[in-house]
Amino acid sequence: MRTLIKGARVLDPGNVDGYKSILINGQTIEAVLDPADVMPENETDLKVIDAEGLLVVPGLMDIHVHLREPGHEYKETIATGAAAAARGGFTAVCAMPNTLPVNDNSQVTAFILGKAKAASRARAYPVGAVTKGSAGTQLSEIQDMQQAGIKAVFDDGRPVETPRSCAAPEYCRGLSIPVFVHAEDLSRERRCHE
Amino acid sequence: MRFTKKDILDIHSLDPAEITLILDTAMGMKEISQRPVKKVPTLRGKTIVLFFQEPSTRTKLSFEIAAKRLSADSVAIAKSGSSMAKGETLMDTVKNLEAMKPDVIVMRHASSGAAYLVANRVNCSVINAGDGIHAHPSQALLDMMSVREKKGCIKGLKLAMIGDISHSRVARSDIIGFSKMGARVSVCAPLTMIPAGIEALGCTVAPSMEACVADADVIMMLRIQKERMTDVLFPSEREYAGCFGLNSQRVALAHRDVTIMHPGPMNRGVEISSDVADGKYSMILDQVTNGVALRMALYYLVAGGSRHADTD
Repeated sequence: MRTLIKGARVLDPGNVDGYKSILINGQTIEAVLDPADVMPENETDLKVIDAEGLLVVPGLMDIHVHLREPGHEYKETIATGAAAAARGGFTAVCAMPNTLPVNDNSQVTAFILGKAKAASRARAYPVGAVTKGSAGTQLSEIQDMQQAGIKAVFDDGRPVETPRSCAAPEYCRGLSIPVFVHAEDLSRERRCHE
Repeated sequence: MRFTKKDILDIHSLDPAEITLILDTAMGMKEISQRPVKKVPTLRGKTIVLFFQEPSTRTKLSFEIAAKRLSADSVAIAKSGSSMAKGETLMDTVKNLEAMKPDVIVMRHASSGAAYLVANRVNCSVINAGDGIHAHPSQALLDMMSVREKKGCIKGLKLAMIGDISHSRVARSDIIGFSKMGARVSVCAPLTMIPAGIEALGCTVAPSMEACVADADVIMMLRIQKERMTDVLFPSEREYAGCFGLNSQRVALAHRDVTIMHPGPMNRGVEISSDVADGKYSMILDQVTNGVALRMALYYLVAGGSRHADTD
């Protein structure tokens, strides 16, 4: 089964930008064709999508998404968040760890991945908490979460302050896992307001 | 060769010939501890002060037993119970000790460099039994003695050292000593425990525990200081044991005649599993035995021997 996406503006930043057609065979992009090229037509096994006026881009990824589950399902669930993401062109989202309980251990990570897999929409890349409960006092079991599937660590909504600011990135460098930073100095902010 | 140093302050200041002399002398001392009467008159009439201002069990006892086996008179003072607790400065305390004419002061202090300060101001010999995170020369020397005894030599061996390098004076002295004697030293730990620029001491930093212990002739585990967990150096003992604990699977990656060492005290199940600590490759208790002989050798070289020939 081959698919032809016809007449769209194809945008792959830094790589492709123009009105082109895309020929897909199964899981593989077989060709990106210019309007002047010969199009496959009238094949029995060809599905044609007329995409004129539409934009075709690589799967987008949102690195800061709150899927809210577990704990805050009244706001969002992994299934609804993943469906909304897919609807908007996002094939993967990074799930923030400030759930209830916080994603600071491999069980929560496994729960999120299991729910995302069941939802079968946008892929979820869980982000683990840097510190237990994102409380800022003790490192989470980051290596354990990494084995369970987290792609980065982050204490969302809370800055990583001293001495963690030194220790956490060093610990994570050894594991080759990215650290996201909420760049805010709460002590300075308080002083400004006085 | 004559040993001419007044003090034993670190490994850095000892050249390979001096280290070899110390290790040879220590091997000669070892036999004394196996006699029915474990005492020789070598340092009779000498006074040794054990001035320990940090908790210590085996190092202090080892220095004390070593002094007694050589017939020296040893006295121990601690920080609590000494005038230091009343506000006397370190130098005043030491000058008062010196006024009582000891031949050797063995000192441990929480500040790096304390032993140098003292050694430069007193006429008697000073042996550094650990200063802050800087040096622990007698431990490194007994480690070298143990490895040389087991392997025949130090040159050409691969030493893997895993644990909190940042806070370990044992690690610094061992890295300098073993690399000076021709061994390759590879260290590994969470990067929170590896100080920047440690390579300057003569070691390499391995990317993983597995790479560190691969083909190692000697594996030296360092104690994980549980009290430092609040400094967020590592998340939990469980995760540490998983990433950096020595177990039989990791031992299997090393040389088939590997030697396992640990300066103690051990955290079983954290940095080392019990089957490895008590297993056939372990020479952790031999280190302790050799420690007494090595410290006897240090006393002999700084306070006895040809420099202070016994007139009896």
